[in-house]
Amino acid sequence: MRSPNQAVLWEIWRVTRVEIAWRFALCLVGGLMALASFAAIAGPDASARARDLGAVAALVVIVMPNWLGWIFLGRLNKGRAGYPMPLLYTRPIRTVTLIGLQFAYLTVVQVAIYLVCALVLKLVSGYPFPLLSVSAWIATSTLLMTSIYWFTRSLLVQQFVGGFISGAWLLYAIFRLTSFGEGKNLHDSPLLWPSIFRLTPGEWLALALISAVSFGMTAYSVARQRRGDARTPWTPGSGWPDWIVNLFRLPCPTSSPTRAQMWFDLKSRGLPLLSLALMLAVINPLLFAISNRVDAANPDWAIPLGPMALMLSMMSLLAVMALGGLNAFGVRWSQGGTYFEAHHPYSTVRLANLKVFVRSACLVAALLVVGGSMWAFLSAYPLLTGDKLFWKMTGMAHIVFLHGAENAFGALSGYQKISLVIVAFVGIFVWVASLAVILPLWARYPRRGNIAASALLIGGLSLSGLVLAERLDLVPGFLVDAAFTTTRWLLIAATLFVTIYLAWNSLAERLLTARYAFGVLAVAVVFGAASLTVLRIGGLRLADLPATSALSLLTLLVVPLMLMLLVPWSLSRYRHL
Amino acid sequence: MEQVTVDINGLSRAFGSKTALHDVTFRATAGKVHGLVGANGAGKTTFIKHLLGLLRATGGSVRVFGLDPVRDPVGVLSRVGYLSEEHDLPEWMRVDELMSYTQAYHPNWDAKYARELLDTFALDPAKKIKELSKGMRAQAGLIAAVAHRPELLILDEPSSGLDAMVRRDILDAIVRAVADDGRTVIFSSHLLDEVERMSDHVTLLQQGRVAVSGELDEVRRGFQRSRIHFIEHFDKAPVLETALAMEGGGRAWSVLHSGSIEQFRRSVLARGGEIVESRDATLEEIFLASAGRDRQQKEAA
Repeated sequence: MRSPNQAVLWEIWRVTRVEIAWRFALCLVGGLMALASFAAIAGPDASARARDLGAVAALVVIVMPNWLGWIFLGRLNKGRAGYPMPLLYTRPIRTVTLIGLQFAYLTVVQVAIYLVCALVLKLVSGYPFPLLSVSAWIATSTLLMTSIYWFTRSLLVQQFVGGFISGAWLLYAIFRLTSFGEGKNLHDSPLLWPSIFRLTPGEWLALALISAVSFGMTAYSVARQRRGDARTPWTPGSGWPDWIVNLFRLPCPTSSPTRAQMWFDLKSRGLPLLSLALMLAVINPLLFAISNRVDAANPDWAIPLGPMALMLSMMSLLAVMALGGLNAFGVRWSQGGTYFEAHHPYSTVRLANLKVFVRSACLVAALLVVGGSMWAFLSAYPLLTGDKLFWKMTGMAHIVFLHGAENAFGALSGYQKISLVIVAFVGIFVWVASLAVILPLWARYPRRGNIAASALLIGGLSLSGLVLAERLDLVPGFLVDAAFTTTRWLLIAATLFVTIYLAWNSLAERLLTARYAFGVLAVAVVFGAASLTVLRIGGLRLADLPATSALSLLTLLVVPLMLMLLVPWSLSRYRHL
Repeated sequence: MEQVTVDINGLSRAFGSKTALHDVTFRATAGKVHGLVGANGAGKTTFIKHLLGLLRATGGSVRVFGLDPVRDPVGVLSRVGYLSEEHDLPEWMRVDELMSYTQAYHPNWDAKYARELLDTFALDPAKKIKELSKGMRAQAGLIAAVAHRPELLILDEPSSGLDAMVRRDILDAIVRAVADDGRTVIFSSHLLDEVERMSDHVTLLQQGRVAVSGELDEVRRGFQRSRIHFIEHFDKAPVLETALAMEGGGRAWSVLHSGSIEQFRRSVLARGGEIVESRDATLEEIFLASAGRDRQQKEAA
């Protein structure tokens, strides 16, 4: 290296090169596949409309990675907010130069990936993929997104600002892509792209301004972080921010290890999840009420805020579901990593089940709080305010969803209601357990994990490819049927084999006691009975189904049993590496 | 008859293609302090993790109180106190919560002793772990490890990166643990003077193998540091039987050697020299000589 500047560029290239390769491959292959898929779906004599839609999909595919941001930024900083390269703090280089070089590198790379993909697609399809204007937009959004990662050391601020800007980015992209004017449709848009994506001088100025502000703000903030003036970042594993944890005062019981462990899991992950749900339960209706008022005052706005607020509420439910399900064991990614509770005299089976159970219960409670608040709000708000606009916007959702669900649930018998509750809880348990076992198993068996994931991915892609090929009359239909039937039987066999192996292995290792095994079986039987009842509510009877479908359905009922065995087994494999 | 607390036979452990421990045999008896020394990466932490059941042996057997720590972690860990090198405690916990949480797992928790140690270390029970300095974290971890009066106390590099005051606290805890009847302490360290001062028994790990193991006095008696004067001038160190390391030049050399002094004296006489002075080697000298020889063998290979 001849200069510090080169060293900085070399370092950022080293940490991004794999992601760049992935991004480029995904964009190019994804874009080409989008073009090919739409042509295939329309058949050998693909209509122009299908091809046009394929071009729209291809454009979305090559632009979307910019919305996702850089994965390496999060990984470098191990999930913390703030500038991610503490090593560079000590290097003799000015902060402005440091940030400038890194910003320039990331921007050039993103734009280059887009430009190459757009040019290839343009060459292959002949559609006028926009180059300059979208490149400028991508450059600006790269600066803005990177700035969000680096300018603050508060994860909360980062998440809120990042979420808001991501939402705005997505809405603007949809707005721009659909600005094809009256009487036209989405499939007409590719031919109109030159005019749709033409930027006015005002827009160019806005992009330049956003870029300059992003750069300035980041350079200023990183300089403060470098001097040590910025606040200490929140670190994953150090628990949630104090003010959230302190919402609940709960003394640690000393009477039994189970109670103490329950307290540990509640305090470290469960209660913060509930606090988050409580916040969302207040924020969602408020946001909805405010946006509804704003819409009422501005009926001419092209994009009403009400539906966006509704969408955000739904997304918050998904966020709770995702956050609540993540890493219930609290293990570290790397092999050899350990966790605090591993040193305590507590059985692995109890520890694993307790962790998943507590997390599932908290997740159910969190979902009930967030969903319940929206339910109550949607039911009560229009009645209280007589808001006609609200009725207009949410009427359909209200009538179809709320009333429908309320009436349907009310019509059920007590046994059916209990069955529904059991199936819902076990469903949440399966979700939490599935996410919980991934990390320990991957940490213990990284190579086998990669092989399994690759096999699943290749299998899925092959099946998709076969379907496309059948559409294009390249392969006969019976071959596709045979592939799907084989896959189904393989999955059934794999589920049954894994369940039997886990039961046998856990008993052989004395990980499971006979008592626990009977308990697991009892829960599985109760879940099976409840599931069949729920299927009957939905008008599905096992006896009416063909034998293969009935067997597939019954195998699905085995999944909770398999997970109840896999949960302690996977934690044991991680605890005793 | 001595009561065996830890009994390890032919323990081997590999991580992929790298062998971390190779055919390690070790025995710890009650009422003794066992020091575990070795360079970075010698396998000390891997060895300790096997005692806690955090790692499964690839070969050989591990028994703590006669139990397999992997098969019966509750039976073993309920009688063990452990302080890790990283002092990895949940940062969101308060010190008093850490004490209550640990107490729940140990019915024989000595609350009075824990309070006494908290006072001695001047630790604020209301403080969160993340607000504590590295030394304070080590002290908090130490209280959690010793307040239930474990039969076996395992300390993995307890003094690593700590100041002299905290190191003294930790060494005091070891002394107290041993003062209680029949308790066993196993501690790893690369501070050899500390190991020498505290241990009854010492084991030197090198590249995952046991290089030296035995009672400290026995180990030290097995190695001597001798000052030799030759008649002839040597530019390079002369070859002497049982010599492990040689320093010096010309006619005056200082040699660390093992085995009997008579055998070594004969070898010196044969090269036209005489032993001017001889004494038992220190642990540091033995360690450095073994490490140096190991490096030479590697370079030669």
